[in-house]
Amino acid sequence: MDNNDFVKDDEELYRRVRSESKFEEYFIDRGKLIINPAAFNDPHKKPSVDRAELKQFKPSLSRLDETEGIVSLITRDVRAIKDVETNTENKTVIHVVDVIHDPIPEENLAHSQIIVNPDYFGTDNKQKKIFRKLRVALAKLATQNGWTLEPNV
Amino acid sequence: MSYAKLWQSLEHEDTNILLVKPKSFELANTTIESDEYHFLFSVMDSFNTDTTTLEQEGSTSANIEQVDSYKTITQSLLRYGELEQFAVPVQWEEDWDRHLIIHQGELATANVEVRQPDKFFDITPRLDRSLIFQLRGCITANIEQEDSNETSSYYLQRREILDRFNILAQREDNWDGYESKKPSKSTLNHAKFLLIEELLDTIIYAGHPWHSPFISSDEDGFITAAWYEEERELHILISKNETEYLQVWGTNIDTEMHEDYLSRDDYLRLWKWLLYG
Repeated sequence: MDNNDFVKDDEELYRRVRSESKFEEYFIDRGKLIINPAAFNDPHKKPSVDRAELKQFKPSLSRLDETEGIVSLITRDVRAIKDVETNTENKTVIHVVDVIHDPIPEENLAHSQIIVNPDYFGTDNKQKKIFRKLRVALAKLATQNGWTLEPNV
Repeated sequence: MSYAKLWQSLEHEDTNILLVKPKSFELANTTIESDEYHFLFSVMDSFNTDTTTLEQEGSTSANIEQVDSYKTITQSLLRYGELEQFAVPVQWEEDWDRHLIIHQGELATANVEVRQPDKFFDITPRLDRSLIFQLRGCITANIEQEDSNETSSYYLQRREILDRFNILAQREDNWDGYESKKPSKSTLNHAKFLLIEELLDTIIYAGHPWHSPFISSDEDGFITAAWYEEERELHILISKNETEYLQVWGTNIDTEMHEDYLSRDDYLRLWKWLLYG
């Protein structure tokens, strides 16, 4: 693996958060910004983030339109979400939460994914439960950090 | 005396519910203008036929009347509210919610004014003895009620949840671009019942403050409700048949989250944890 491919613990990650009214990925609760776990939804259970340094620390480069906001996560915090367990009939499998670089050539070289390793397995319901908790944890981190770039609404 | 206008206008075919806690009940002035409505007085849940009393004020001594059924109470309500101009309903319809339905044809006039005296009866304000006034299919209605914070806020909280469900019912498959399913009608109904009739009522009845949850739907079309209080979060996931909860007090999935199936015994315990830690 190229050194540049490894996402270091202290790296900042950008995640775009879509509009409040249509997608409801954030909302205001008694004056406080809350990032909804839905903001980290992904059909493949691998939420996308961008490595900030590969976006020249310009969060605006990570959003598709101005109604989207950008939140930041620190890789160390994501990895500290800790292990995710899947209980099978005979054993408990530990999945490690990780951030991997997954550049999309000619589109987004900063693209990365938040994954669990080994990948989710077991019944669909089990996988969804695990992914739900991961999203809740990611949303909590993002809520704690607040906006890196506020949406223009 | 101040009054809060609870409804100014009602959409046609909409069902609007005003739930009034009896202790603070004071329907001052109801004006309904439509010839295409029926007016429902409901008594939520059944009254205890042995112990419930109906005290009517306005007489020199308390006029205590043992009532043997909710029908009697409702009829008394109608009479006391000077509703004699409505023919006493000739047809009683009892469904699960125990509605008394006065049909359109039973009304003497299309413009009706009902004036109730102050606090015309007094029974222990238990939520299961609340009165529900439902208006269905009204074009316009103007109902005023004494501005009781307790009653108004309860009504508004209930209304807020119902409004939210109306929005969720409009969702289509892939509403979020992540292939999420739309919530089914049965899931919406289950969630509505659980959040309002079960959770909200239990919490209010126990005397705790209610905080509105953020209600949405997830990728499976299940209903999600989430409350945030300092570092604590309570997430509820409601499917057609079952309900799960997730307590969150940190980001470590191993040590700072707990999930389980939700039962009635959990409501107050989880609520106290959310509010007070």
